[in-house]
Amino acid sequence: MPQEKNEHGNPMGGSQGVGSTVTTRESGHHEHQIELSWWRRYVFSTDHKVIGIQYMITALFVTLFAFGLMVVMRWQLSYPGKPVPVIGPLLTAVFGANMAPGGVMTPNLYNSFGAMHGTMMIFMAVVPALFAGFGNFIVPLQLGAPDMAFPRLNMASFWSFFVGVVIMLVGFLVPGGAAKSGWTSYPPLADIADTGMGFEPILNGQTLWLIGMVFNITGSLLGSINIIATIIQLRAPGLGWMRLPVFVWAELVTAFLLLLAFPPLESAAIMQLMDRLFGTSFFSPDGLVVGGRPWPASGGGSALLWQHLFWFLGHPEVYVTILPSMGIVGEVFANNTRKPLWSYKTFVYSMLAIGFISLLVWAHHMYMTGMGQSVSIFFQVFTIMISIPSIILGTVLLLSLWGGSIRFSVPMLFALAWLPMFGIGGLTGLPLGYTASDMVLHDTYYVIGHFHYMMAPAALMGLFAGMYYWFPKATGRMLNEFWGKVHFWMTIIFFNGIFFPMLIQGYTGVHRRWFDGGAGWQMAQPVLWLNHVMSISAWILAIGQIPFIINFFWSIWRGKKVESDNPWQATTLEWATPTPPGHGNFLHPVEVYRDAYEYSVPGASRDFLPQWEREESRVAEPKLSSA
Amino acid sequence: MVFLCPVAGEEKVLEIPKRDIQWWSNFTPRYSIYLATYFTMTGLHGLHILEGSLVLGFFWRLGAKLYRTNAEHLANRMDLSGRF
Repeated sequence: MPQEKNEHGNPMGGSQGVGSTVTTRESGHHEHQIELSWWRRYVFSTDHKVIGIQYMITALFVTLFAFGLMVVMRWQLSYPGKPVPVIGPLLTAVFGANMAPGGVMTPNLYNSFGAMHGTMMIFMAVVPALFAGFGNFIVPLQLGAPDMAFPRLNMASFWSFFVGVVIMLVGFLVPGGAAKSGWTSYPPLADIADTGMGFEPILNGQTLWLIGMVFNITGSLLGSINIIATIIQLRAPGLGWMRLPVFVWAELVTAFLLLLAFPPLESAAIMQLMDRLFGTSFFSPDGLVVGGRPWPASGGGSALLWQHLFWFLGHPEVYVTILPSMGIVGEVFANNTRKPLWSYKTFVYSMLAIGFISLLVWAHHMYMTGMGQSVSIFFQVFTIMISIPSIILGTVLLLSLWGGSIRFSVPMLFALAWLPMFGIGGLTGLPLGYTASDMVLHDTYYVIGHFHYMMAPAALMGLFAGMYYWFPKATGRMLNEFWGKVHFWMTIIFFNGIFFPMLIQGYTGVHRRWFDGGAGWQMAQPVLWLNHVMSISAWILAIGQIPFIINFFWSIWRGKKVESDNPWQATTLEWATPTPPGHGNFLHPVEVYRDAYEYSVPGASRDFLPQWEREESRVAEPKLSSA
Repeated sequence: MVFLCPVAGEEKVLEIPKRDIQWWSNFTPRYSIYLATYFTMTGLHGLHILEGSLVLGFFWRLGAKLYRTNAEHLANRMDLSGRF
């Protein structure tokens, strides 16, 4: 590989942390700019910023796609059995007359859309965007590092993830359609789904789901190792642990969660793959009878084992989605209230506590499996216990607002909205955490409403806050403020229009997986009108994203140019770089002299003291370093 | 060949005539959880070996050029690929 030798000016890929025997040539970043081909610069890049943007774009595309699945499903729920307008013929053309005859959704199509909506949103949209996208782009910048610790591993993790996404999407096009056993893929249903007549042995929905997951998990594991190594090894001189921006802390905790929680699901996915391809029976119980015939496997496996392995990932995964979002909100709060976070250390320790406890709560998804009382009590206790650090975090953010001179910029609006969304999502979880009330609410729309409040409004509020906040750093141009506000109000109102009625419906017992209600909807008559509220909200929410999409692309090329490297007058290190940062990030080696959020320091002439300035700068306003 | 097949609480012996059986083995992953585990693990180990051989083979043939120009660089790479 001779052509790869010097692309970083450092054979080990620009890191200080590994390969100390290598002569380091990494300090200056223009002395050895070797022109890379377009492919190596923008596609197979090892630069953490490009990879972060690749993650972000892929994840945003997947978000839009998976949201589109849900928009179609909402039609079916509001108008069961009616042809889907506008895209009905498209459904028939793509999925065939078996799956969507005359543009009407069949149960199989509905199930596959539901399963793929969940899978893609969680594993391929929210986590890659928040953890990997922002993590790759922002973390090395906030640490004052030239790149990630393992740049080439970083490229490998993105491409592994990308292959996973492609395999998942291919699932829609194979005979029989994509996986339809729910995003949790519980066996024995998932063992026997998509097999037999009309299905290919490997190219069928469920098998492709498993293969896609294996690729995706591999990518996540490599990425989390990289984030951990970067944060531990590549902090700038003076950047002690308690001076780290909260987003970096959030990424560190998240990376550890991924590292600990994902391997069980990877092995479980491989085991289910064995079950499907080689006839093993890890998850097939004794005497399984399918369609009146004995299932051809020796049996003796445990279906419950899958649930344990799945939820050992599945629950920490919730915190994987919410913690980076929390970190972004912390950054935006400190910057826009112009005062330090109220009790930074409490914030950090609460995140660590959440990370630790989240590994001990997984079986609260399984109260209905008959695990036994003492096990249930163990998980109930820890589930309720995790609300303590969560409430502390919310309180820290709330108190941070007190006495601040708040700038109601677009990122701040999203961050402010994050707080009540997080509150509703968390508090509606309490009845589900107690075994007694969970018995009633299990598998109803209440559960859907509850976890969507965490995963959709809360996590995505953080995503949008980060997007509007860091967009100027990535592109050198601001997102349009007016359209940002339009996007904000459309998003916040109609998110609640979708998810709050779910809580009400769930309380009356509407089951989460009903396709057209059938006889079950006879009992749900008084709350069925809410289906229309939710569906119309979902469609308007879709329209409400159009300003964002247009704003995003328009602003990349035509947006208002930033006038300084630090347009928000922020204190953390990512704003010390040129805009947008070049290869190697910093023009000069940075040192850190103070805590992360030194805003409104008494006696200072400006209301912010950046981490990288030893003395208070005389310059009233920092200028673009390129100017 | 005989299966024990409990259906709805009752145990019924299911007879499968020999002509319906294409092949049968007591030593395949299909036979028992033990062999399933055994073959899954050895299979994954086999993939691991294959992957390592490919990487080492790559260094052996194509890395030879790097050995002549910068042996230490190659040694570092071998070290890193060993770790992963």
